[in-house]
Amino acid sequence: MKITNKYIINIIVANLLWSFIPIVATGLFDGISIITIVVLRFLIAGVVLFFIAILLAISNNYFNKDTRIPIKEYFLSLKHKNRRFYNVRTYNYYFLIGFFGIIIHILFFFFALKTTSIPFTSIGILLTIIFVALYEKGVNFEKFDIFRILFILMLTFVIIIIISVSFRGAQLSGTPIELRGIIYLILYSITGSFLYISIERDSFSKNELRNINKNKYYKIPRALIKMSIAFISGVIILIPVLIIIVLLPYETDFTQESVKFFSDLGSLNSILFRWEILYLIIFATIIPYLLIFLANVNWKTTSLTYSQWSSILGLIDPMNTLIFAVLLSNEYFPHEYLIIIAVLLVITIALRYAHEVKNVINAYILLRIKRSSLNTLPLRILKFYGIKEIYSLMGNFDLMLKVRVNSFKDFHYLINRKIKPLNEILEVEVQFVDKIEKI
Amino acid sequence: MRAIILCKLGISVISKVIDELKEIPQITKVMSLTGDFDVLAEIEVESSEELFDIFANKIDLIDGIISSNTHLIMKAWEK
Repeated sequence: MKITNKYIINIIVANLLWSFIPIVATGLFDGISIITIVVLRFLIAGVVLFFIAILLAISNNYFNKDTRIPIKEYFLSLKHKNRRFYNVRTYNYYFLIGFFGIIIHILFFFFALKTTSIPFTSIGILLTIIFVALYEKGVNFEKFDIFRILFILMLTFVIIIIISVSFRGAQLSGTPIELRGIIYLILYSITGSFLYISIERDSFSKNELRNINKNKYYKIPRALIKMSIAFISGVIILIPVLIIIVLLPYETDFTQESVKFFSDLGSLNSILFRWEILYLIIFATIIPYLLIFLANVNWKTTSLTYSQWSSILGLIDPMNTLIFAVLLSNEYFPHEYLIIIAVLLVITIALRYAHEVKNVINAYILLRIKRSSLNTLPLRILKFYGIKEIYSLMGNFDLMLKVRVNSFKDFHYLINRKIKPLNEILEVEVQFVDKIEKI
Repeated sequence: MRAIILCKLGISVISKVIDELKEIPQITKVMSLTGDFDVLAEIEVESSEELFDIFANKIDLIDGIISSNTHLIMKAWEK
């Protein structure tokens, strides 16, 4: 199988940029509240991404030959119900991702970082991958093939090595890893799993599908608006939560950081121009998100989907964090263990690739449909999960659907629960793709 | 102008037929299938004359293709 997709490099660069976050952020913890860092990072990045989205939407209308899409169209779709996420309205779906998946997730990450060490916190992403695999097994009934079992085993080995080395390092330095640090790390992994599972559950309304087919660049501003709304709404919801935390009679880490946050507000100017904050906003948020959105939107039809590649290459982040933390921050971590972990993680990446390739289902569905349904039916079918493209044909069949799903359960659901019940369909013929020979 | 060609093949000829289809520059995609058909090829041509030329001079001459079923693509939707 050939890797012909040049956008894979975007995912790699984004993960490399993210891997420096712990090293950069720990330099800020002494003087600035964790909450100030998170609020500044996501509020400013959210506003910048929003303006980039609007500029792209306007320039798309003026410099592109495709049909113009009025700016309000991007916001009208926020009201449609997301059928892949408990039928909540799209703006509520973005709020939930923004608050729990991004703001709370990163807050727990920084709390874990502050109360433990950089190598110990790198376990968080590995735990998230295991949690997501267990979720897919438990909820989606995805098969635990040999590759998946092996990559979970590899990750468990890596986690055990990191834990034992971190505890030894903590003993040597005299700053033991506290229980609350471990709890923050687990909460970070749980909110990370929520982000990972829910961010792919976006769905297009019929109107949006029409816009995508009228204007091929519609998806880029849309993706940027989604992320900017998630960032900004997450921050806006956080502020009243902080006030409640400060007013509560219980003293927690959150109370201290909240009080510090409100006192930081007086010196925001000087905080904003610290290089660490600028790195977090520009190189750890705006640029990587632009890179992954460009990759997601322009993803070519190769055998693996964008989200599959993104999950495979997500392991680059903890690997680099560990390596650079040891090299740049003088964290305790014997080099021989570092080499063992790097080798194990590279093997894990290979095993995840093998797992994803083995489980992807590519198929073509040929349909004969009733007369007079050609105008409405394709857009209705295009909304279904797993349908990538639809061709209207002149010949024996009327429509051809290009399908790509990750499990037979999804495929079965698509055919028997979604397509066959449609009244307009007279005949369904499934052709599984055995091998992609030329693309 | 794009078209989908669905082919049924004889026994033990699949790799040979696929290699010959891949050689045709106008064929942009080739996939082997499991189902009623054995191979799917997507072809992109300028005109129906060019499509006829490719069929008459190339595809029809490939040994091993028992039958082919061609569908013109009128419109495509994607997401």
